[in-house]
Amino acid sequence: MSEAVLRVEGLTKRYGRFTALRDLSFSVAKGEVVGLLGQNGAGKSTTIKIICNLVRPTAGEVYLEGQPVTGQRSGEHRRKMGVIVEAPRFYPLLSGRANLELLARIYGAGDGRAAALLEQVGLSERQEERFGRYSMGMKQRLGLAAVLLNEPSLVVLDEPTTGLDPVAQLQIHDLILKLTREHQVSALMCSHILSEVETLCHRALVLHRGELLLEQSLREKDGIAEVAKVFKGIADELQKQGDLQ
Amino acid sequence: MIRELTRQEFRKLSAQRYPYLLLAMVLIAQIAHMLAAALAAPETTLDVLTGPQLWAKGAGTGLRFGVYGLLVVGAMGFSQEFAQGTVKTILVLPLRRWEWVAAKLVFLVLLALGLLLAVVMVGVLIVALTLGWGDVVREEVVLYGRGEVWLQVLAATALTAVFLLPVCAFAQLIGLYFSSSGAAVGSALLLGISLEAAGALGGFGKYIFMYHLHRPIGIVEKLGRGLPFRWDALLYWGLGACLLSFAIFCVWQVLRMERMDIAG
Repeated sequence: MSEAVLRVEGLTKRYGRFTALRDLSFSVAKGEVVGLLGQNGAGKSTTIKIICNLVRPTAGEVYLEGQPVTGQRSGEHRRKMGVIVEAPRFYPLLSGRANLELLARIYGAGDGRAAALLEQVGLSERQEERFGRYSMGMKQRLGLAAVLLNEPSLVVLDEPTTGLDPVAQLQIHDLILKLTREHQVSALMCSHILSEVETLCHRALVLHRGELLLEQSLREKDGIAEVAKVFKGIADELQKQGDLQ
Repeated sequence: MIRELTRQEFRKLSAQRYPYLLLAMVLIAQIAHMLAAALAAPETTLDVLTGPQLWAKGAGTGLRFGVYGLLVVGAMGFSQEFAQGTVKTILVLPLRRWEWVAAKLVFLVLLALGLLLAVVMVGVLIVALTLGWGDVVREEVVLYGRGEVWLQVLAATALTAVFLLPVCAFAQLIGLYFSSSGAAVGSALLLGISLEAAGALGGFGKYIFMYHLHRPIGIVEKLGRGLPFRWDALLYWGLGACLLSFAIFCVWQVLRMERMDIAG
């Protein structure tokens, strides 16, 4: 796991006077699953958006398989990435299959690839239904199918189980584990759920107010307990500030 | 890539109901106007309509409604992507942002040409069914032969197509500034109407594309009435203004899209 698929160096993003990210650096090795944690507004989504070129950083650089990608207009590097930003967003009036085929054609993948992925994520029986009528779990599964269309070396998932019932959460976990273990795909995953991060991730990064507060291996004993301790500290600090006010 | 993205725009539009409703409204307005004009009893001999005049009236009405329809569809192009959040799905794909802008514009221009063709053909059909497409005759004197009339109809159609280009680009540009489809559509319509009104009041209308939109139709109308007409300088100014504003709107929206942070 030494070769870095994704490397982020000195990432800073300012919106006017507000600093959303401050000098953030980390990397994701081949086959590694890294969890990105933090409160709302900690900078997780901004980090993901910069990695995907949706947002330009004020400073810093993102490297994908050693190549700098920040500000690249060609978009070719995105062939190596599969991304869900915030939540799976598709055209509500098109069917699940039509949505997936639409993306497959942009990747240059055939319609057969879309059909195979729909089968893989368990949506083949509901593929003709409009996306707007899908349940949250079905939307997430379609999102995962979209992420896999181009056989990426890195997947970026933004809270993939938010709003799902426990069964759907377990199904999504199984899909992510299958993807990362069987296909040796690296993953960067935002989540608010510590148990999910413990199950799926090798390493956790905790962001707080745009800065990296903790980088913790989850393979170590009590790794997740360390992460929980940091969040407890943040909660106590906020409590104190609240009391003072 | 642009061809594929353009095809997808048609696919997305065909899944929605409102474009069919807009097209129906345009054609109903045109047909109603033409039938009312054709069936109205003339008070004097000067009020007697010829076929080309009737066509020009109908095409003018259809086109006026059609422009507002195009403003609606164009303004929704990007604003709907922002509202649905699909912009975050598309822009993480391996494509250049300008390609997406170009594909949406090509789609809108093709749609405008289709609309123009529908308006022209419906007009031709209604004239054929009511007044007929014979020579333009006044008091038993043939002013224009059938061949010349058809030539003018063709010229008017082609020129109107040029005038529709900046309308499309303008509408799409407005959509890039809103993340609500309703706000984008309302603003596009309001700006379109305001531009037209300001142009008429301020006397600079001849440089605004909305003013020139009906000019070719007007030419046909003049010819139909037997009035003298020269392809004067104003028409070339109009064409120049259209092409220049089209180019400006295109560059503007590409720059806007390229520099935009998709943060929200």
